[in-house]
Parts: sequence; structure tokens; C-alpha cells
Amino acid sequence: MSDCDYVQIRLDDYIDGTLPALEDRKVRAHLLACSKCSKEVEQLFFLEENIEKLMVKAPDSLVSQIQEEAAKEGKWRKRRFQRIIQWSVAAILIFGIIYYYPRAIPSENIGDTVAIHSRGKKVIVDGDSLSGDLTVVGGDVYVQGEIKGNITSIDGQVSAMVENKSLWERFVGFWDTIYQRITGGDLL
Amino acid sequence: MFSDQEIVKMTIKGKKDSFNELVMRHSSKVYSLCLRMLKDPLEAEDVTQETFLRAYRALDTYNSNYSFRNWLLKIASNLCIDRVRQRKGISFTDTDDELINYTQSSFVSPEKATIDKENIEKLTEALYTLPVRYQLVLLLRYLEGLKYEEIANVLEEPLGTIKTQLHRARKLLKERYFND
Ligand SMILES: [Zn+2]
Repeated sequence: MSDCDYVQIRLDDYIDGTLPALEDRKVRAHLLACSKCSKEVEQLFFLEENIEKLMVKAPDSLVSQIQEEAAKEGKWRKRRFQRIIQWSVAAILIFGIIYYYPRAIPSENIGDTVAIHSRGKKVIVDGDSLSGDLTVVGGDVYVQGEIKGNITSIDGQVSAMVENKSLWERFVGFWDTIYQRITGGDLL
Repeated sequence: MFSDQEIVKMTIKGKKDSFNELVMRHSSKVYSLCLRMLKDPLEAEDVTQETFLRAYRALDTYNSNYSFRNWLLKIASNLCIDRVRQRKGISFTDTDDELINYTQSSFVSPEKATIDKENIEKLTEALYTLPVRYQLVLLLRYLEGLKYEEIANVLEEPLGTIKTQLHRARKLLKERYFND
């Protein structure tokens, strides 16, 4: 193998600066002596340097246009918003369950009349039929069943009758029903 | 100063305007590659934008073990190859002059602006006569400064293939540039 061949097969690595020290020294020595090989190396370096100079700055208008388009799509912003909504809904539901979790409330039957000490909790009369009066002390009354007598709430409100349920009451009623399904409990 | 990887995470978490920084950092690299591959400033802008938007939409698939720049260059390379294939046979000599002028006025640094216009003109012409694949490996190597391993990763080819392609591309470019 001639010296030129020795250099030629190592030219890429020489240009890239990845030749082992000994081989690098041999190539350099040959390049000093051989005008044909040294010219070739010179040309390759020249091209390399000039390709480097083909780098241009992206137009500012392009940069801002890309930024605007990405913001307009806003995929990840939307995802974040969805996550916030999902967590909020979950939090509200959990809060609703805890807050409206009805307790067993002591009640006393006086003849056909029921008196309940509700301790600030909502009292739900659901599906039952009560022939006497219902008196609730210190709580709201929510009626889903039938009361043939009078309903009295002391320090509370009679918040709804069957025909007149607001969306909120339906929501509360929904969770009450779920509670009952789970516990099989008869609230009153 | 946040790393590209950190900014990607912030963007996915929904932090406002964080993606803008990635566009700022890498737009010139992507744009330059597209411009040199496509030889048409408008189309290069178009493909650069598409590159970033595709990257934006697929941010959650980005593997942070690799450089974000190389990921962008991979997307851009594929888009450029597609474009070049689509318009095979169309001549672009008309836009060459415009492209040279464009190049001259938009160099990054002052010392680059002093480059001999004739050299650039001749080089871009010689480059354009090469097969698309050779153009791409040369640009990734010298314009973008990628290592062989990185080029292999970007173009999804074995390292040996890249070395061979680059060797031939250099040789061919040298012949075209100096021997015509
Ligand atoms: Zn020689």
C-alpha cells in the first residue's frame, strides 16, 4: 500500500479529528510531503467550513407565527384545564357526599306524630307515608314521601315538596338515595 | 436557564408560553436545514412551522434521553424528504439567485456575513446536484454539527451506513465543487 493509499482510507477520520495519535502523526507527515493529498484535505476542510456558513437565522416573523400557531392549538393548556375541571368536580362530589351524609337521627313517636331533633342536619322523609304531624327541631325538612298531617320545622325550613325540587335538591337527593342503596338504611 | 427537557415537561403540564422558548432556541437550525434542502424560503418556512407544530402535538412521545434539537431535525428531515419527492423533476434554478441574496442578508453573525458570495453560490449549487440523502447527511454533519451516532439516530440508519454515505457525499461534493 502506498503512502497516499494509507492516507486516503484515513481521510474521513483525519478530517473529523478521530484518528489515533500515531496514525494522525503519520498522516500529517505525509500531507507535508504530498501535494496531491494535502490539496484534497484542504478542499474537504474548505467545504466543511463553508457548509457551516450556510446556517441562517430564522425570520422573526416565522418564529412569532409558529409561537402563535402553537398557542392557538394550545393542546397542553387545554389538557391542564381539563385536569383542573376533573379534579374540581371530584372534589365537589366528595364534599357533597361528606356534607350531606345523613346521620341516623333520634326520633320519638308521639301517637301519630313524629318529633325529630335533627341537630342541624337535613331530615329526609322518603317514600314513607306518615299519617300524623311531623315536627323537626333545629333542621331543615326535605320531603319525598307523603305526610298527611302538618309539617313543622323549629329553627329550620321546610325546603321542598315533591313537586318542586330544584336542581340542587335533586343533586342532594341523588346522593341521599345512593347512601340508602349502600347502607340499605331507612332514614326515618 | 432551563434545559430543553425541562421546558418540554413544563409545556406538557400546561405552563403558558413555555413552548415559545423551544421555538426561539431551535428555529434557525430547523429553518436552515429546510432552506438548504428545499431551496425555497417560503417552503422552508412552511416546513419549519409544520415541524414545530408536529413536535408540539407529539411532545408526550418525545424521549428525553435524546436531544430535543435532534428530534426536531428528525421530523424536519422526514418532511423535507417528502417534499423533495413530491416535486421530483421540477427545476429550481429560478429561485437560486433569490436564495443566495437571502442567505447573504440573514447570516447569524457579522463574520459570517463577510463570506464570499461566489463561494456560497457555487457551494449551494454543487450541493443541490447531490442525491437528497447525501445532501441531508452533509447538512446534518456540517451545518448542524451532529456526530455520526446522532445522524444515524436522526435518519434511523446503522452507523456504518451513515459513515459510508458521508464518505461518498464528501467525495462527490468535492468533485462537483472543484472539478467543474
Ligand atoms: Zn499522497
